[in-house]
Amino acid sequence: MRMIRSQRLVLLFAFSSAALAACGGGTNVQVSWTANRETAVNSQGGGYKVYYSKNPGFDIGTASSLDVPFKSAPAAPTSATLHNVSSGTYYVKVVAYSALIGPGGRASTSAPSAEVSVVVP
Amino acid sequence: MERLHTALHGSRIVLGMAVSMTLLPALAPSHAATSIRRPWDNFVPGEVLVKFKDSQLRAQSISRQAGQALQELEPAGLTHVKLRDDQAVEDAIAAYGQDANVEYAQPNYIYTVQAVPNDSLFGQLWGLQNTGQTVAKGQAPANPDPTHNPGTAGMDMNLAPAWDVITDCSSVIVGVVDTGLNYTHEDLAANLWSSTDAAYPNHGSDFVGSGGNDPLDLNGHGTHVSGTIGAVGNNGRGTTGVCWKAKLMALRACNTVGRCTSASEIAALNFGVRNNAKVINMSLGGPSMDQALSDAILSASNNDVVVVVAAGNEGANNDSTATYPCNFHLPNIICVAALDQAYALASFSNYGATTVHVGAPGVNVFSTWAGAETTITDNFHTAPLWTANPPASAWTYEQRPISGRTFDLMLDPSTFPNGTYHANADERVYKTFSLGPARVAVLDFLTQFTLASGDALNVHFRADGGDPFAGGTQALHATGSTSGRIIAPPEFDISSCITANCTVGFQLRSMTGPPPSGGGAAILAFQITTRQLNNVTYNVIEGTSMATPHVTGLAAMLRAYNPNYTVADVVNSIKSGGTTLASLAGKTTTGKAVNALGSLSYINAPTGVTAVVAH
Repeated sequence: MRMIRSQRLVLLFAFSSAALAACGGGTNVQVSWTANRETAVNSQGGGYKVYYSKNPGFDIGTASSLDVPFKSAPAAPTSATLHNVSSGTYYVKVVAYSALIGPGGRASTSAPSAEVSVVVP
Repeated sequence: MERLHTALHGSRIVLGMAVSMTLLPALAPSHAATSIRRPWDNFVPGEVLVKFKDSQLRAQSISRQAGQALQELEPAGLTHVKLRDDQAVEDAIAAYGQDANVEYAQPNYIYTVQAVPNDSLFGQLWGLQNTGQTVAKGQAPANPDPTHNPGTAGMDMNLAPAWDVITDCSSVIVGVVDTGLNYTHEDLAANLWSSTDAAYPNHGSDFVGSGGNDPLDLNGHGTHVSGTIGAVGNNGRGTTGVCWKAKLMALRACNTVGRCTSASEIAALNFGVRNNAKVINMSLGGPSMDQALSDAILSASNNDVVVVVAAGNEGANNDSTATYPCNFHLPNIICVAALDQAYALASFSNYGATTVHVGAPGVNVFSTWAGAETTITDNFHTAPLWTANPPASAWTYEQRPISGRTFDLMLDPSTFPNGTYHANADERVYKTFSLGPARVAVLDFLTQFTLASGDALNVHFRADGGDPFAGGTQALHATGSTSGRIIAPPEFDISSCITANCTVGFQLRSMTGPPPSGGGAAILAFQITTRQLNNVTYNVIEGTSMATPHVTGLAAMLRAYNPNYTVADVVNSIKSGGTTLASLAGKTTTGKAVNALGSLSYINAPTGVTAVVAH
């Protein structure tokens, strides 16, 4: 069991996509995935969300996330960096989404990918 | 005479109706059952398919059996072989099985198209947008099914919002393995594939019999299926397909009466794959495991081709009574059950919790057709009467109740199924009909017979009038018995009899002598349909054949919208994007009806996710 240093706990408390993107230095986690083949994911309003948590088997509904929207053709980005991550084991899942509206007004989002883990020293 | 609605399509449905459909009184057979060899057995007599290991040695193997190669199919080594006259199919398969150069040999199986006959016209297309409308009859004479007509508003493929996203599927070539395609039709002509090869000027090719290259539809079924996939949309006339713009490739593998073979289907599939079709519709089925056809569909899968197939029309559970190609369990096959206008499983539709995947609209489907039809029925007692030869022949007319309805029958003997027919009988009965003008004429009827081995019920026709058993053409030579049931033989193409004096006749011929009792034959529901091809006819029919192209159209739409989609992506988005339906629970692998918007907005879960520490 790795010790968690106290100053990193503060950062972890502030784990949101905005905070992560803004902070410099420290440990980063690079998440990447295979591009989805749906046109709508790789179009305006489409993209991915990276969800992460320290709890294995976490529910994305209550987890932190980083939005990775489509920016320009031909495809939405297939990687993202979580900045200044405190030490510990993190669990990560990726969801793809599009601007289409599904039946019954449902948002067009994928099921979460398989969960992967990364140990941050 | 009103037709027996469901009895006319496919042989299994007839067997399923056997309990109620019999000429009473039914007698216990008084003699041992003789071997039954009917011309509508489920493979082509005198032909087999042989897969040779070494194509170079093929000629030697075939000549050892005194056979003849009819055509070479793909993959290399698969050969359509004609047998010598005295070699039965079973014997040939055994003989080729002994040949060290043979991987396998199998019958050339027969398949049947899976229809049940029964934009100004967009309001008729309940499967695309169900407003609770009542589907009316098209110009062709089939009557709509009264069940759930009108149905339930909203029970449809949810296409209207999908059309806000995409209507043009013309970047995806769709092959239709069927009876051909009416490529002159006003609502199809703009949506056809064209070959860059001058050898195929007619938007596809023909694989029936000796083939040729003209896939013109002489039946209507293939044209109907094609219109559901891609009749021109938003053109102010006719109907619209699931795709408003499409690229339809006509692969004629089924003949004028909707019968297809392993060989014709394999050749059609191979042509489609070779010419870049990415979705192929097969609204057909048969009861036999067919290795060669399975291999051809697997080859299509390896070439990134989705194949959408019909569950079948026997009202049966495919998990226990297989229908092929539905039951092949290949990754590129989507097998489709039929739903009615209230999204109940259609009464005729096959189903299967492990074999059938999704449901789609398949009752009272309005679409394009081959041409105008005229139906001549005959009740055997309206003048001019049938001519008996000899005049003292035992053929008689009688009305009898069957399953609570009254039917007009022609019988020999009049007491059938009691009594028996005459020894040495050569009893003929025939009538002359004026057919045409038309391109196609099709004869069908229902029959029950019990004949001693060697005795026969013959059906002949003759284009120039007079006794058709003197100089006519044989349509049917049947022996044995129908096991006390009324059955529907396949329809007979009598197009060569389109004259003002086409005589059709029945003959009971006894060479070996009748059984002591119960021998004879009955004919009912006699009908001749003529078809004059044109480019403006539409028709309402039903079947899992009609459900299938709704899914094919959706597959084309998904591939057109998502050019990077693989076969697995298309199959997964169709299955996953559907609407869960109580009527399909336990009846399909997904329990879902297809939903165009649901599949378009469906997104596969990302894969290949990695997370690493980066400094």
